[in-house]
Amino acid sequence: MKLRSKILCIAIAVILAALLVGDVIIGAFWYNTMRREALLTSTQEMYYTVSSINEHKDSREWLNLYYKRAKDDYSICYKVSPEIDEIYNHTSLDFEKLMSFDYEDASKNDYAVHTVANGRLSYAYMKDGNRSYLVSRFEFVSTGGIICFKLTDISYIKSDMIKRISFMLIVSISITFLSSLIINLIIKKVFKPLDKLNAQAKQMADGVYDKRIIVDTKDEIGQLAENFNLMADAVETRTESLKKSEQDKTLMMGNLTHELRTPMTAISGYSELLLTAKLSEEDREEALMYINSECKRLEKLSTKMVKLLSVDNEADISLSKVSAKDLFDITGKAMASKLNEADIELEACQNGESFMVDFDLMTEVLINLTDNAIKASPKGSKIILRAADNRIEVEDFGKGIPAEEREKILEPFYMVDKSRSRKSGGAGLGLALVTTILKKHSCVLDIESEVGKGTRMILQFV
Amino acid sequence: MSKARILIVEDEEAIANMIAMNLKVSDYDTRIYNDGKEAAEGIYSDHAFDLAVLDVMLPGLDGFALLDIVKKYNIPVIFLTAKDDIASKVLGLKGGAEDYIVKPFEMLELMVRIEKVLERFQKNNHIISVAGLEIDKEKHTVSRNGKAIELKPMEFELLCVLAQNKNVAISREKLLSMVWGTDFYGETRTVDVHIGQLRKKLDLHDNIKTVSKLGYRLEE
Repeated sequence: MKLRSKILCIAIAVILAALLVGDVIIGAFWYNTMRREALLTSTQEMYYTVSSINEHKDSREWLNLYYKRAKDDYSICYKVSPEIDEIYNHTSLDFEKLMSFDYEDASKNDYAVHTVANGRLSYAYMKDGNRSYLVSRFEFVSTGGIICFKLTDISYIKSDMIKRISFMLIVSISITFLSSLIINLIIKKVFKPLDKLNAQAKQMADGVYDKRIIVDTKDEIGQLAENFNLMADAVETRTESLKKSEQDKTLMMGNLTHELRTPMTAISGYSELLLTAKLSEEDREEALMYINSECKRLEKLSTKMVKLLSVDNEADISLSKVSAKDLFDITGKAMASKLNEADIELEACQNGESFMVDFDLMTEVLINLTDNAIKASPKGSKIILRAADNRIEVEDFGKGIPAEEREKILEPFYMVDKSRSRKSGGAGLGLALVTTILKKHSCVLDIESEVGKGTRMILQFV
Repeated sequence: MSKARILIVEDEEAIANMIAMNLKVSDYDTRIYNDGKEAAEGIYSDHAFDLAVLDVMLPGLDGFALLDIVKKYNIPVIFLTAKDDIASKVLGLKGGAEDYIVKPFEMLELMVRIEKVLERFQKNNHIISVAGLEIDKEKHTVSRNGKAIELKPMEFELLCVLAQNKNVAISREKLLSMVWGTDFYGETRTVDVHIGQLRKKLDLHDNIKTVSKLGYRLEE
């Protein structure tokens, strides 16, 4: 069962129950009030009738007269002493029957408004078929044994009650019906954002993450929707980044296979040639040389890959305060032979700056960047290592990087100048390694470059 | 017999030299370019090639662009590339290439395909001379010093394969599939028997070498 139907049912049940209880209470109250009023009227009338009797000597005659004049169908009067003598009786009830009722003393409860000095006022209820009566009885104490009865028909109270209650029931039911309509409308309005939320969640389950719910209410449902949107944001970014990393991995795997394939083809081709063909000594040597160099290339590739993966997997790096001088010195030493070979001067500019870095990893970064700079630089030029407040720069005056290549060079295995890089023994993993290490340092790599003028790699510490 | 001259354009120096070395063993002349642009410029002045083996992804100028230039000089082209998608294959073959081989490739396959293309263009001499023998593939005859030698058809086919892949060892299995066809469920013994016949009939005991674990090689 839907929540809205549940709420509607519960609301209808509660309203109906409340109205019915109200009806019963009101009905009971009415019933009691009407009965009390009937009793009051009856006893008062009785009182007024009999209270004057004392003043007349011949009370019997007076009574006779009175009752005759009243022509009251329900008035009865008996003289009981010395013997029972019916003075007046308009009813079919005899004295025995009248006396057999269970009378209650009216003076004991609130109904006896007037104190009666010369007698006792009491009352009883009587049922006769469908009709019910109130019997009021007055016993004269002083006027020797006169008992007066008065019957009041109170059947109207019951029929009146039935009428009123049935009317109230009709009213209650119509109120319930109307209110259920209104409640339904309200629920619909309240549930509308929930419906949207529901549809949205379903869409999200199907993989649509880019839609958001527009909710203008500030209530709990509004908050829920808002939080749902926040969750959708989080899910979207998370899936995007997962997708991105997945794509990166696939791309890297593809590139890696490609990078592996070429040396493998060469190695297997040359070795097969050596095995099967009758080659001249010169060709044999050449083939062996190629096998050797391609093996070295594979070795280099695997070393770099291992390094890249290990840095990537390492959860924490040990940061320590390292001076720029130390970093530059060790980079210079490591690159000395390559610099010599290319006839390039390495200039280190620093003023005692220090950085919170992992010494080994940051050295790796600088060596890689310097290596790239050497590859790009012409003979006889120079490379500058520069330290500033919270940045380290590696600047060369080589051929520069075209703008459209600037994003791609960070991808694993990407090489701007394929044949040249291969000849100089690159695998295209250097900058990928650099970016991975820098990410661990929460350091950003900025590239400023102009084709033909040079490149400035800026390590910006955040 | 004039040697066929083959143009190789391939950016991987190791692979290019490997192809060249293989072709050299089979008595072809080669010329290697590692760069598309250089190749295009080179062809302008030197275009006496019988066939071109082109890579697609090349620095300077890609293989498809190079194809148009090479076609101008009526040189048949075989593409040798890592690009294995249908679109590239269609583009290459529709562009006028004779064949399209996807890397990684078997050297022997490349050699056979080169031969077939050369045969189609009749640039390959149909007379092969090896070890003092003259083999006429069209007339199906073998002669030594002008004297014809009678050979059974399968023996002749086997001799052709060995002669065309002179100085290269070919395994028994490969010979079986190349001469008798892939449908032939024979034993490698069949090859041994036929080799024996060739050695005897043509007096090639020294020239047809048994290379241990590999197969047979016909040497000059």
